[in-house]
Amino acid sequence: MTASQSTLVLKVLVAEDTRSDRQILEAILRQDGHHVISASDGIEAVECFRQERPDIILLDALMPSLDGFEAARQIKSLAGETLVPIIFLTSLTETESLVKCLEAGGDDFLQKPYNRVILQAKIKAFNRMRELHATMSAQRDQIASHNRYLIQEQTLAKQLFDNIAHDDCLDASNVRHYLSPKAVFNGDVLVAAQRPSGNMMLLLGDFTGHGLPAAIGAMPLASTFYGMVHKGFALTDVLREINDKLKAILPIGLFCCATFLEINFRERIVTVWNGGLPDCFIYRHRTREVEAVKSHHLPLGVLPSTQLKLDCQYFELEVGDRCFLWSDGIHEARSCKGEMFGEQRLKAVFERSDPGRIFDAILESVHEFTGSAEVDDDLSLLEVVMVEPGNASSRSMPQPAEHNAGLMEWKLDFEVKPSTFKYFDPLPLLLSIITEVPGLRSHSGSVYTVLAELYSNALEHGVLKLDSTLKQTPEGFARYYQLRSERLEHVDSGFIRFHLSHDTRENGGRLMIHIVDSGDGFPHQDVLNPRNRSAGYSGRGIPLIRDICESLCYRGKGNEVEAVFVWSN
Amino acid sequence: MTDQKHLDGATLDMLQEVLEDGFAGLLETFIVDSRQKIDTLKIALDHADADLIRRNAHSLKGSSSNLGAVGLVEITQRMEEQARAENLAGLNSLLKQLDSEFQAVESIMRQKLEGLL
Repeated sequence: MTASQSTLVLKVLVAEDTRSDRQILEAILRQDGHHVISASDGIEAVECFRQERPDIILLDALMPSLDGFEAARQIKSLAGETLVPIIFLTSLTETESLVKCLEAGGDDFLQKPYNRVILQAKIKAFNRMRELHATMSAQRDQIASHNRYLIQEQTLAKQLFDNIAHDDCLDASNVRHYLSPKAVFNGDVLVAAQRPSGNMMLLLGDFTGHGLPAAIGAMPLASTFYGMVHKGFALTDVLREINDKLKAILPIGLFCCATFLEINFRERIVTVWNGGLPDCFIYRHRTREVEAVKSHHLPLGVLPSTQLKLDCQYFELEVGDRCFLWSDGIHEARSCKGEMFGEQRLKAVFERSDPGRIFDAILESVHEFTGSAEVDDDLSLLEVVMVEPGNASSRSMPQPAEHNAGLMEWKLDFEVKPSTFKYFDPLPLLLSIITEVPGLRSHSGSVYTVLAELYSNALEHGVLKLDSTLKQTPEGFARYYQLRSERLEHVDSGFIRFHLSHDTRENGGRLMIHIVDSGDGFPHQDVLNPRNRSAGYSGRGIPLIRDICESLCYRGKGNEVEAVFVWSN
Repeated sequence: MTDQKHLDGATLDMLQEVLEDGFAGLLETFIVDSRQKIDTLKIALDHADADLIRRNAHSLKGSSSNLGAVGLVEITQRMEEQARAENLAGLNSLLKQLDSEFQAVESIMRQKLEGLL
């Protein structure tokens, strides 16, 4: 075989002290096209290896100055992770010497007299091994590098997610939660924020799948949630928007089971929408009874929003009552025998624990049940306690930088027509215009409360003609909300008009809110009488507005209301 | 051919084919180096240095086998074995055989070399 017949060209080191033997090997190798380097003793062989890095080495076992065994050891150590096959040249026949060659790092032997065909075969075989080794090492390094890259990406993705979910109220004094630090990569996501009204909104989601695919949906979910909740959008609007985003982004088969809670501390009402997560629990601290809130909906990201059912369940709570949310990690936690934790064990924890201990007791019993900490990664738990309004505050909401110039003196008339009531909540829109006034943004919570209370009175009593006395009993309360959604569905007449105007004053301004509805009004003299607080439109809302506003008065037959909000910095 | 008992013709033919122009140099090298090893063997035997005898005999056996010098291989093999066993008796006679065998090999190789010119 000549060089032209073989494309295999290797750099071969021949270390052999007998000149004639060396000449023969060199000749055979050169004829095969290889590049040959020669050494005549062990020291020279090691030095040649250091400088030339040959691919394969033919090494005489018995050489002066440094024998082949020691040379082999030094060369193998210099080669490190690279596989450099060493073939010992020997006429040694004793087993002991052959073993010594192998122990020194030799890979094979070539007996004298040299046989050209055998030498060629050995060189080919060892070159294949060398290449295989190099490929494997490269692939191993590639896998390691991919893994490093993946971890970097996950860290980055986690940072991005944390940035989005940063301004939350998960640290509020009435909220406790347990989430693995890598929860977002298990598909679990928990977001919480306060509406301008002071209501707290919380969403626990569980995306199908694991890893980055499960985490991808968490970003739009969280950014939509925070963006909309802070602007005062209603729960159903936020749900619809998140559903639309996820439906558009996620591939078929990827969706998000979620429970959405809104806590109204002022009215002590909890609104629940559960789409596909295990029953969440409402826990009454007085009776120590648990009410399970079942999922009545498909997960988010499955249906187009036109088909998404947005009806919620409402619960009246007392201060000290608690809501518990979880993903299926708790129910599906397995013991070493493969048994699942299940709902029975979960209920038992509620029965035997003091109200303030339930959260910890759940985690403890799951850990005890599984007997390991491995379950932690898939376990998400949230507890929210009903507290007095104002006791649920956390870090203040981020305040956008104030601009000196902006909307100062203005007037706005805005009318909501029948076909719009069902689909559109005008408050976020109006609030966003109002908060264009420099300095007024920091009062957006108060302004929203006033607007929301007056609008909801105008809508529920003026347009939908609901009787607020219904809300005085628990049955009536449920009936009230049922009627509200039924009538909202079919409203075909009526209007609500907003007349908003703003004047500047030294260090602040004065916002006039004038709302007129198409309803029949009411004997408003009673409402504003402090001795008659529970009569009229609403039991709790009106006195609060009177506290916030400089003045509040009803006009006409009671279907017109004017509130003046004065602010200064 | 009487040459065959000293040198294997097929091996030499193969070497000539592989080494081409280097073949003459190979034979010259072998003759010079082998002579040197035989001289060393004589000195080693004078000093009864079994290890030196063993290593030189081993080395000469290897190079002789590569050139197809079958007679030399046989003698050096026996010398190596005796030296390893540290049995130096009779090595003098083996060394004489080695000397004459080498002369025979050298003379055949010289003829080959002249034939190449």
